[in-house]
Amino acid sequence: MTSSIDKETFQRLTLFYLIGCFERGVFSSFRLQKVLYYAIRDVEPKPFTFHHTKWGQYSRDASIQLLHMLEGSIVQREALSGKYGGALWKTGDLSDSNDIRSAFEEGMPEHAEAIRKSVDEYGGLKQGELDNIVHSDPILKERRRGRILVKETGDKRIRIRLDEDTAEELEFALSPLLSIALARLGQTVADTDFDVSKVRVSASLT
Amino acid sequence: MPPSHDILLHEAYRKAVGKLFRKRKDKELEKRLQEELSRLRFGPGSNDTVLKGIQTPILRGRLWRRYVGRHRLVYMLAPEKHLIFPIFLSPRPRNGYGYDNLDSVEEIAEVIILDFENRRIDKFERLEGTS
Repeated sequence: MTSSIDKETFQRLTLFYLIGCFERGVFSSFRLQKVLYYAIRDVEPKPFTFHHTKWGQYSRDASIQLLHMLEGSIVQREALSGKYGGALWKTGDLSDSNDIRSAFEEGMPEHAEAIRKSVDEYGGLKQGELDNIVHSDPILKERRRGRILVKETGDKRIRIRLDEDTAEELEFALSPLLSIALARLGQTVADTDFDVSKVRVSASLT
Repeated sequence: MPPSHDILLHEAYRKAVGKLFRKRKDKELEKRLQEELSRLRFGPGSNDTVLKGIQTPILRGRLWRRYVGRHRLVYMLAPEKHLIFPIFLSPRPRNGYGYDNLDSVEEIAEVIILDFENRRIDKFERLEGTS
């Protein structure tokens, strides 16, 4: 049983799953980027391209997708106070997130396992420790700043071991634009005094 | 038992579906959709499924899918108003089909919002339920 999801859904799914693997959310975008890098480095297809930047391994596409997901209320971000400041990334409440998480584990088990492994290995490190590890990664010495460290792979549609209905649900649930538009529609319908009885009755439904 | 919901069809949705029928020249699908929409006045059926994983609180439990033949009709339920908005009919069976045109759902939602807010009654037609 296989179906497919579009590439952007695959990217958002990866991010959503990774963030949800952190019990209390991901402290800092830096940490999120590094754990993501080590999670996807050796899996196929790869959802993101990573470049060598002055912050180490960094994916611009992942940052953009996170912002889109934030706008669509698919993930949340809290500003952190304290020495390092930054952001705490979280997913929504557990019951609704679990549907997406379990679909990912079933549909892309190797990816899910690689993410969990990366979270276990790097997710709980102190900021300084993580910083040391990522900056001493040999690949950063091999490839100059600006060079690609990992290149995204896969077609426009990504095969996934799920039935068509579940794959469709992922595309709906993880589409920020759709979430925004439909949430606004739901709110508008709830808030607007609209006299339905004045709407003309349809002869043909289509 | 009388129907429990009004089905509100916006002009944009009707145009999108009409275009699909013209393109496919599928009279059977058109007939089937009419039957299913008519049944939908009684609310979500036992074969309908609520879309899972929706993260936006206001949408949870409100987006449903009903199969119309092998096509999928996605609709939004507004229980507090006893309304149902059909928002999407898949152009063809999902297998092998990309959701590149999800944009059309957003566009349809946006125009429904505008016309609902501005009470543009002329932009809608309804299939009677409770009214």
